[in-house]
Amino acid sequence: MQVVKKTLKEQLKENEELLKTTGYRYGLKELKLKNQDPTVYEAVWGMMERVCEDACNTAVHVSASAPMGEARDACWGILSPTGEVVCCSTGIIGHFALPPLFMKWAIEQDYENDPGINDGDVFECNAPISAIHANDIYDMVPVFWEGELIAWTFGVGHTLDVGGITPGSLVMASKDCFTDGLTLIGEKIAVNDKFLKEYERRVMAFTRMGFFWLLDTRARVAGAHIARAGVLEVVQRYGVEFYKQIVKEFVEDSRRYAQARIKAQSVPGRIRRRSCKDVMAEGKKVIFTEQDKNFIMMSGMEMTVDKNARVKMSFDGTSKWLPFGVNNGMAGLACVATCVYCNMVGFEYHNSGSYGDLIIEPAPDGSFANPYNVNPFASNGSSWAGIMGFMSMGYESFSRLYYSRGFVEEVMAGTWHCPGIDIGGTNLSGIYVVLVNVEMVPGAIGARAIADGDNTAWGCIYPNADMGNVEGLESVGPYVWLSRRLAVDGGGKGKYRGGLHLNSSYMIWPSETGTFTLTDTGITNRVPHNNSLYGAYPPPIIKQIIGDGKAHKKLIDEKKEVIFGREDPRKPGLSKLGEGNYRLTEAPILFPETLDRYSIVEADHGGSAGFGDPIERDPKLVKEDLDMTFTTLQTARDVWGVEAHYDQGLKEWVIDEDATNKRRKELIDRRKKLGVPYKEWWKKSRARVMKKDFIEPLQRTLSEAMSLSPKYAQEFTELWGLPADFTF
Amino acid sequence: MSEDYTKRELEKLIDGQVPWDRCQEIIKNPKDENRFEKVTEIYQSRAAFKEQIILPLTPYLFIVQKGKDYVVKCKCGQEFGDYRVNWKLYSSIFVRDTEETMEEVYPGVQRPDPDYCEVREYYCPGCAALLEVETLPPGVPADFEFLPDLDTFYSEWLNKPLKEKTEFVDKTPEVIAQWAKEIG
Repeated sequence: MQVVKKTLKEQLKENEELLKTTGYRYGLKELKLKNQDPTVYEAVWGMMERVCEDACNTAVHVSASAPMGEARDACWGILSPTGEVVCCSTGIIGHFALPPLFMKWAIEQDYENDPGINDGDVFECNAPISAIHANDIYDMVPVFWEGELIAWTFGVGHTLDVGGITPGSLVMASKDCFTDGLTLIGEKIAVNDKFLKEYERRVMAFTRMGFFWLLDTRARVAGAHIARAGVLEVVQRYGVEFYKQIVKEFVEDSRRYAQARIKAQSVPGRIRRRSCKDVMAEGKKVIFTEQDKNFIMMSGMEMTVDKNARVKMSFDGTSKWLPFGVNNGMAGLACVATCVYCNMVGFEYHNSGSYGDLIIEPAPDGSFANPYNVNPFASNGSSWAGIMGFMSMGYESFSRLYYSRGFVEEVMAGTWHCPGIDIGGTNLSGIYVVLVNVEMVPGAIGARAIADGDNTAWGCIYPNADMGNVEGLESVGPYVWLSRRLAVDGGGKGKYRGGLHLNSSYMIWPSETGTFTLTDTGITNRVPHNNSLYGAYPPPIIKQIIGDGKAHKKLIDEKKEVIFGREDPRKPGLSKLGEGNYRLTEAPILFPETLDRYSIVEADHGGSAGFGDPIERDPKLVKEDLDMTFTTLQTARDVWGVEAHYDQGLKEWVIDEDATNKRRKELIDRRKKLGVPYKEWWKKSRARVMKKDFIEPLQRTLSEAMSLSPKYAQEFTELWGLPADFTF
Repeated sequence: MSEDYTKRELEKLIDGQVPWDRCQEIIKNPKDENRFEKVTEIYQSRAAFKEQIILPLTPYLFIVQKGKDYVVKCKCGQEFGDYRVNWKLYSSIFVRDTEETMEEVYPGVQRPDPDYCEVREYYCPGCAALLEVETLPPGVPADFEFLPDLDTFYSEWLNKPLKEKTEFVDKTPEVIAQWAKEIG
């Protein structure tokens, strides 16, 4: 009897139907292989995990590009034929939700027939269908066994430049996708394991550093080929039918694990959060008139957990798409969900199943988190700008649920928001390079309910974060590091403070000049992200400072101190260059500013969210922070209510206990004096809302958010007690 | 198998006194099934009120059973009303909306812009504990961070149905509507 094989389209439809009708992935009510022999089950998982990790560890060294080689801004994995991730390496976990989006799209586009899927093919994609932004490039490799497609392997990595309107990793100046850079929408770039010449020629011709792109491609594909060999090894050892069954069980098993975990450690209900970010573009160099104004991006997120521990995320209140590269679509939201699940829910088997029960409702049509139905050409070159806000809310949301259930050790208040700094110029080898600040990746952990957040230890998109060796980065880039120090008072101030990130100083050298842009998630100039837990202040806004190259060179010639860290947010390090020789910047800087050799960029990387009422902070922790110069005496007094003095003999800070008690009582009394009943404040604020007494960017944001989402409009009018037809 | 932690150890955990190595073990271990009950007992013993804690909301705020109602109470005993109404409506609030007041908590280069941001501090009217802080532009309504589905939690997750059933619904708009009516 001839067995008619199902097409991928049929398989995908069947998988979706089975999940819908049975509640189990692939309809697997029973995990047959796991039950039959749990040891073999775990052993095969171990093999697959090893395969992915081998791919990662080996392939990052194929490329010479700093994000991949130094900071491992990359990831490899194995997919089912229809695109579910079965197993994944460490690295940028935020990306592993995205190859499934590409596969779904490719199946819907009938790739089986045109362009055809054959052994030895490589498909490449950095388009919004499955990429966060064009610099994150995916390569997909089909795996065949005796003529049958049994798996895909993938590699994804961040490439330093894709030929966008401005050089670098995080192009934000684009009004639309036409200037985001070279974008491939699932193109076949190799046949019979050989790259097509036209692909390589195009990359070399239309990007600034095509050699990095192509080296990265080799790294991505090398890793995917290692994983392909690994899959075939498993098939050879256990048989193809066993392989096909076990990968399905790994995915379903993960779904069960995540669901059980949510039920075991959370509480059903609704979490709601809003957070804003300002994009100060008015009066700056832009291309189109509609870009010449200031914007407020508002992110809205609601997370509900139902009786079956199924989680739904919705995004009402999210504001309109922007004429800049800060937009994202379902790829961005899927990335948010993956990171939140990986970090806060955990996984038994690191794959798509973990978030299998999650429902992601598309953000309002036309919002910056779902622009494409309204504006198919929205730019996403620097889309992490919006994504991180949602991510932080997701961490906070699960933390609130865990806290209420009593699992205080699982609480983590939120994440960091880091600027993207691209500096272009000539490196030590005389090659033009644009290097992004990869140290943004290892950010600060949000405070726990039981301890401070760790400093520079974790990336919300990258748990095993690595900021890269400075020496390695300097050998590639056009600038050198003068210093890296933990940012003083950089975290959210609370009973437990958010982790601290870095203040780094970059000096333009060896390049004669450096082109400087400032974009991405750290664009918080005027409103801090609304993210903290239970009385802690959200982490502060982020401020980059530029020091004049000539003034700095003079100090170098005079053999004076030339390394300036930010020892106090009241007194930036570069103020030591003298009045007129330094300037504060506001993000974004969309088009490159040219900085002279020896100019300094004092790079503020932002801190993470805090937990609890600051005046409950153990004075011993404040002393430790003072000793480590993580805080200042003024902040200790104003925020934590701690009085201390520096003992010159002991060379350490000593807490004045009586004075501390007195100071804390003063702060409590002050709260009693300054606090007014909410109703009073509500009346005053309501009157202001009715008068529409706000700056134009704010009125515009609220107006657009309300028109994009009737649900948000209803919430807004209800909470201010306004007529239902109120508009701005 | 999950470990059955002693009440003493959980108290230390809540107070941040468990050594980090041990915390990591606790994080990695399967979750203890009776954690909620044990932790609630600890909070109950530390609260100034007598009513039974139904759900901890924050380190200071708890949903408690008061007669047939479920209301929010602060550790100090201050009451905030029906848990389905955002407790912030019954808090006292101080808004930092000038450079001078912002400077105290966000000094120097950290200071936000009052046109773009209000720093809203929500205090307990009883003990003046700082319960939540929001940094949002003026005009953006206060967040109602967490509305639990108490009935489902107790009946379907803990298998201990509540004495009084309670509907999972946000009642904040009802109170606001009443306030708006008062203003006219």
